[in-house]
Amino acid sequence: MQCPYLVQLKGICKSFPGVRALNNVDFDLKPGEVHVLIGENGAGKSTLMKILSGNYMQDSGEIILGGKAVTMDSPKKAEESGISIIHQEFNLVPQLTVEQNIFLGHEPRCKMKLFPNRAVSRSDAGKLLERVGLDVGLDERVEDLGVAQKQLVELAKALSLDARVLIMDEPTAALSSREIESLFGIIRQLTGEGVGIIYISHRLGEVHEIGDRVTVLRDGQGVGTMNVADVVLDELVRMMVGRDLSEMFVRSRVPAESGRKIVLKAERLCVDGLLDDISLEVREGEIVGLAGLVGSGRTEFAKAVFGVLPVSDGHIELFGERVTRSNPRNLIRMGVGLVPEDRKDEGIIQILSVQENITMASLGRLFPSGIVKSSIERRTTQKYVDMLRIMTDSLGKQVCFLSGGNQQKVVVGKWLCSELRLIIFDEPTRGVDVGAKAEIHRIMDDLVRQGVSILMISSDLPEVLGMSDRIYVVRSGRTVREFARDEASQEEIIRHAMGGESCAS
Amino acid sequence: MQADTQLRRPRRRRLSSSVVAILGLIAVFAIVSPDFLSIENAVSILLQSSVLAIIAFGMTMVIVSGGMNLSLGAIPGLAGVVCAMSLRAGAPVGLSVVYALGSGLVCGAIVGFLVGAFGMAPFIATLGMAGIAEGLALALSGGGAVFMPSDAIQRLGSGVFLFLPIPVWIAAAVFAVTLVMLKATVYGTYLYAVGGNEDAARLSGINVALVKLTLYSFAGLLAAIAGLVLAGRMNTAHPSGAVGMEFEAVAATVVGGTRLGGGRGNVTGTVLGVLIVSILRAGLNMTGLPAPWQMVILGALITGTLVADAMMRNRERRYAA
Repeated sequence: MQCPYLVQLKGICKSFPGVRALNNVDFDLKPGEVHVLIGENGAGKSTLMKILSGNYMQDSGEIILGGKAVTMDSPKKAEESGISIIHQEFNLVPQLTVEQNIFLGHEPRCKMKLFPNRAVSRSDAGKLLERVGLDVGLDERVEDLGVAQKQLVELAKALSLDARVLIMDEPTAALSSREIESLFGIIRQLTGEGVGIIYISHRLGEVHEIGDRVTVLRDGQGVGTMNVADVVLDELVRMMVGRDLSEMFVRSRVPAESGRKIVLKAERLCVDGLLDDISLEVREGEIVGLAGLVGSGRTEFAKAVFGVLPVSDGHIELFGERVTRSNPRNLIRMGVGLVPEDRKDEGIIQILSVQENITMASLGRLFPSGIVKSSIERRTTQKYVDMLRIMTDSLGKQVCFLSGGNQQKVVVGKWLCSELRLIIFDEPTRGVDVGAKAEIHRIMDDLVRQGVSILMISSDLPEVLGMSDRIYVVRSGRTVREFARDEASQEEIIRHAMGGESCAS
Repeated sequence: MQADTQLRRPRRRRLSSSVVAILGLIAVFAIVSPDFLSIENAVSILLQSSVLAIIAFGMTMVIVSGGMNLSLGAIPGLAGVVCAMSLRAGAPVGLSVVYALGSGLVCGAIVGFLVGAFGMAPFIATLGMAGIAEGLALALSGGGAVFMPSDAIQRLGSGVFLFLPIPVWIAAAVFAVTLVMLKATVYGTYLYAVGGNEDAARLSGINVALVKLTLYSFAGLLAAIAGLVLAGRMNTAHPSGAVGMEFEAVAATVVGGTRLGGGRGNVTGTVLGVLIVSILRAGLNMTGLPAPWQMVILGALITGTLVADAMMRNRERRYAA
């Protein structure tokens, strides 16, 4: 008789020096289902998946594939068993073409083995792109593709290995609402073909939308596996963190009337080929949300304000003064900070310590003489580590060893330390877990209460709606609509972000 | 997806700009010195280009993979000396050539092992190897040039075949091999992959350490071939004969459009880069400018191209938002 499960993990335990990462975890996957795996950062999701995909060996417990126990001792072995993993950070080679990336490492070869069999790889790649619904040329370089397209190339690559089990690690983290819809369409099609999908996510809303079953991990233990139809959101959150959903958004105050000082004003701001009339205002003590599709020009606006992209027309006023020469150094001196979307590359220096990262942007202010006094530096850092509740065992710990949420707090700490008056957050909670997300929202709320102003770019609509005092919607490089806090709804924002087209779902 | 206003990166440099540079240089030198346009001069420039070209093709492959190889200027000297000493000790020509090529291969393999298996920075590993190879060459030769007692090797450097000097043919053969390797083989794709995103290459199941080991070995082998050609042309093996050429090779590679940092580039561009360097050198020679000043100008050219490369990369990084 055929085994009803594609994969069964039984009693998996794994320890790292000093940490028990997984303790007796069970997990299984049936053909044609989407099994969502959720849990806070550090709950053990990635470790479990790395064991299944052959990157780690479990200390004890069994991996059973189609009824047979196997030893999964290398990624190659997993690949041969039909298990593919789509990584959260893209693992594509930007300079190679779509076709080359799809078959990288397992190219169809000619008899001599030395040369690739282009005829086979071309037709196969064409079929795969069709299957994932990606309409790009096979010879396009991956670096010229958008984020969503890259994701689909990753998916095509996984499918090229004849994957029966597909592990997707936060596939929607970088996608806009519409792109997520089309990804979900592809997932449904794949499950229809009998592929089993393990779906790791931080977005609870997605559990009901795409999942068939859900397993919650907390602190390396399985808290429970349920049919999605039988659970409600609040219950999942409670299982994950042992806290109530009402703690998710802590925005506590509605700001007073206008008439406050304008902190940032952009008037008809243009950047060649990217921005075409962005006009907006941020007032003192306000959180202003900037919503729009990925690629609509939100991040580019932040970069134009910061002088990283050249302004071709229009102008920016900061604190009532017209900005003529913007560059990051000037802006920091004026009290403007940017918490970038890509914290790994732009926000922190991975190999430096928490302390070095936090004080980096304010050394000049703290030590005008140019000589760093370590006692002051330590005290200053400690203040922000406490304030932001950054989980680190020492101030000297390298930032790369912290979890995503804590890294994000370090970036925030860096800007708080330099005593800013305006902070631009670009996707402040992308890729951080529910607990850390609530923390970051609490911090933002604290900041505005102290009179700091915030411009928040976010693709997470509940976040935009929950946190913002006012919301601007950007489409194709233009601000197309401004909403007051109580006027806005998810539907309205999506409608304007997508240009009034019907929201196909 | 259509709603995404995806940013296009600036156009990549085209080979045509190199061609324009070459024609420009030729025009300038032709005006300064009418002899410059003679056929003999053209052949002599090709001949002088060939050693640099052989080294630069290896360098291009290394740079495409995201690496760097500073030992490629020292290995030719070692290979030449090994060959000459082996001949003088009475070994037959064939065996001596094998020893010489073997010395380059081993030097390259050691570097490749250090870089691939230990993750050592290529800059450091190859700088160390440059010192070792040059030191060995000096030690073996007793510190000076060694006469090359073989007609076959001399013919390798000075013979003519089908109207062109044999070194030019050798360089052309190496060009063909490296061109096919980079463009058409799976191995070539792996070099671009490792240079473009090493993590992705590793996660795709590519044995990155092995790719690097073979790559540096191959570059070492090419440098040894260059060394034999050089020694044959001079009739003598100079232990430090090609030292400094590693920088010219880097310059030629970068002028040819291969980007430092990896993932992009090809040997066709390197051919043009090598020609630019050689024409400039030959032309400067004919102007009668004192040798030290020629060095200054060549040095400035190399630095200039590296600055241009850095500026291109900065611009790309900015646009890669």
